[in-house]
Amino acid sequence: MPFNSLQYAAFLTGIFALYFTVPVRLRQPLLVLASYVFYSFCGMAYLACLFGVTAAGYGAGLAMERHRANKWPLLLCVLIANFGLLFVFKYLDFASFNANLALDALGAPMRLPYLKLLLPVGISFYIFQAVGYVIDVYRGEAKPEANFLRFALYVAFFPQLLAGPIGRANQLMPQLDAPRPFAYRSAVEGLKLILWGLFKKVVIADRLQVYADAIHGAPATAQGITVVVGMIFYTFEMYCDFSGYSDMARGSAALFGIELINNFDHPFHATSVSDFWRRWHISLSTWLQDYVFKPLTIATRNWGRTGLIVSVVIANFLIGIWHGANWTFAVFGLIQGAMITLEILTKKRRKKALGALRGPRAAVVATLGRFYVFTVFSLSLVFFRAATVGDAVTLLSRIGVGWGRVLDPAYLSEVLLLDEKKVTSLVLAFALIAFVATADAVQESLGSLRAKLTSFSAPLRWSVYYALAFAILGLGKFGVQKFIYFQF
Amino acid sequence: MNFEQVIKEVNAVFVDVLDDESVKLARETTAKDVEDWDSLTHIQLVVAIEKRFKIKFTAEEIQKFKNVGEMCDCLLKKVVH
Repeated sequence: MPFNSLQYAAFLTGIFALYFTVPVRLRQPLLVLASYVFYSFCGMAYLACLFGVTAAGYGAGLAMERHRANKWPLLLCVLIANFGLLFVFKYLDFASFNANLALDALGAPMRLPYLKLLLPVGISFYIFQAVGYVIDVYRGEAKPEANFLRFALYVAFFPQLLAGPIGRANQLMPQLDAPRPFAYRSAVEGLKLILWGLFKKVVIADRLQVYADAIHGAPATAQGITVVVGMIFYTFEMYCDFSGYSDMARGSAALFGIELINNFDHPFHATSVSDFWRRWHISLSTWLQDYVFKPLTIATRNWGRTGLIVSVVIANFLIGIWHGANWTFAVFGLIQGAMITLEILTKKRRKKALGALRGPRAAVVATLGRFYVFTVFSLSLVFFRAATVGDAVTLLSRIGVGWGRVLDPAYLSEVLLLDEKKVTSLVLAFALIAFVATADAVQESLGSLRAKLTSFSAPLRWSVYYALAFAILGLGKFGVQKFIYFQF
Repeated sequence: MNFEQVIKEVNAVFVDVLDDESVKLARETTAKDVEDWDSLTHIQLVVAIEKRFKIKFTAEEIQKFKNVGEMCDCLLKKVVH
């Protein structure tokens, strides 16, 4: 039941109405039940997986409190069980495939079998959420949760179940506790977020999708200009798809007075790749920072810069393969790691050369920085989107092809007009990119427009809502395109 | 050594590592308050402090520091003993 379906609109409305009608003590059980019903739409069999992860996390948290001296083996068991499960579903066939390649090369007659299991939707998200809680309890940073229903809700709360934002015990658990009275402001903010998120998904992301599909469908015949346009479009498609999803998740949660972590902070305004990862998929990057990167840097701190670089590369490699078992994701992550390493190594020199700049010169440097970040990220997304690393390399090698003919209208219309061969579609796509980029630029310097909207007069406010709603109805693509992040 | 002396020394380490003369640390200062103090420079600061005071923090101690004050308190205990 994706967020961009009528089914979800009906489900959310129904649960919202029920939540504020039933007696307060039934609210928590209602949300747990609703979340499990929601997940059952993805396949009944996967409910067992969700329940197993929940039960293991709950049990481990309590056991750690009772057996303080034996916390360490308990933690190890939980990590092995959770990541073992994730490995079997997500990485085992890939490991077998690579092992078989090696066996082939060695001329060995045996082959490892493939399990061909279907990945339970959202598993990478809720396993990380449950494991984060157990590590927090182990470190003494979170209290063990005794109320099973509250813990079940923490892991399964439907707005964040399928694709995050990955919540943290200390931030989310207390919110699931108190009987919350209906908060008009929070609910209205939630609806605004849902509207904006849906707009980004069905109007922008789904419109841009045809371009990425076209270049990645036939990399060997792609033209330079299509590759460049395809890269720009895919980067914005990804941003609008995933940040649109995250907005809808946060908006849905806000209807129940619950605040989820903000997953995006105008990422294309970052002036370095390190800065970018503090603004893009924040819930994942901070998770890896707290549970992988920091412990690694502490453990390797006596190796000097090497320790830092090793930690950066490992953490970013993990960000890559977290998305899936394919070398393409590994390359995506390693590109981030390489660029962040480069930034660490040149930091002092850059600061010396550019740190004292003020005014327009500083603005030019910042703009160049944003251009650099966008270029690096779009390039890495070519690997992210491609079926194989070979395809991505082929596509990038075509980037210089055909530029001599770009002034020829016949050529341009042949290679660029994909969507029903209409110029208006292409112009609209560019206009929508400009629109979302402008909205981000304004918010980066002035703060949230959603909050500002509240101080506008009612007619002005409602014109904005209607404009977005009509854009969704008029320009939205409704074949129900899946959200990109549901596959991870 | 007392807290004031420790934080003064730590301040000098920050100025040196971050290459920024304007750093002014107080008990409540956190990474959010200091430009360039991020997850990348954090560990460099820890290492430089360990070297300057000739002490070693445990991994658990480093994880738990919530602000400059907590780190200096921990440092003070190690220097005194």
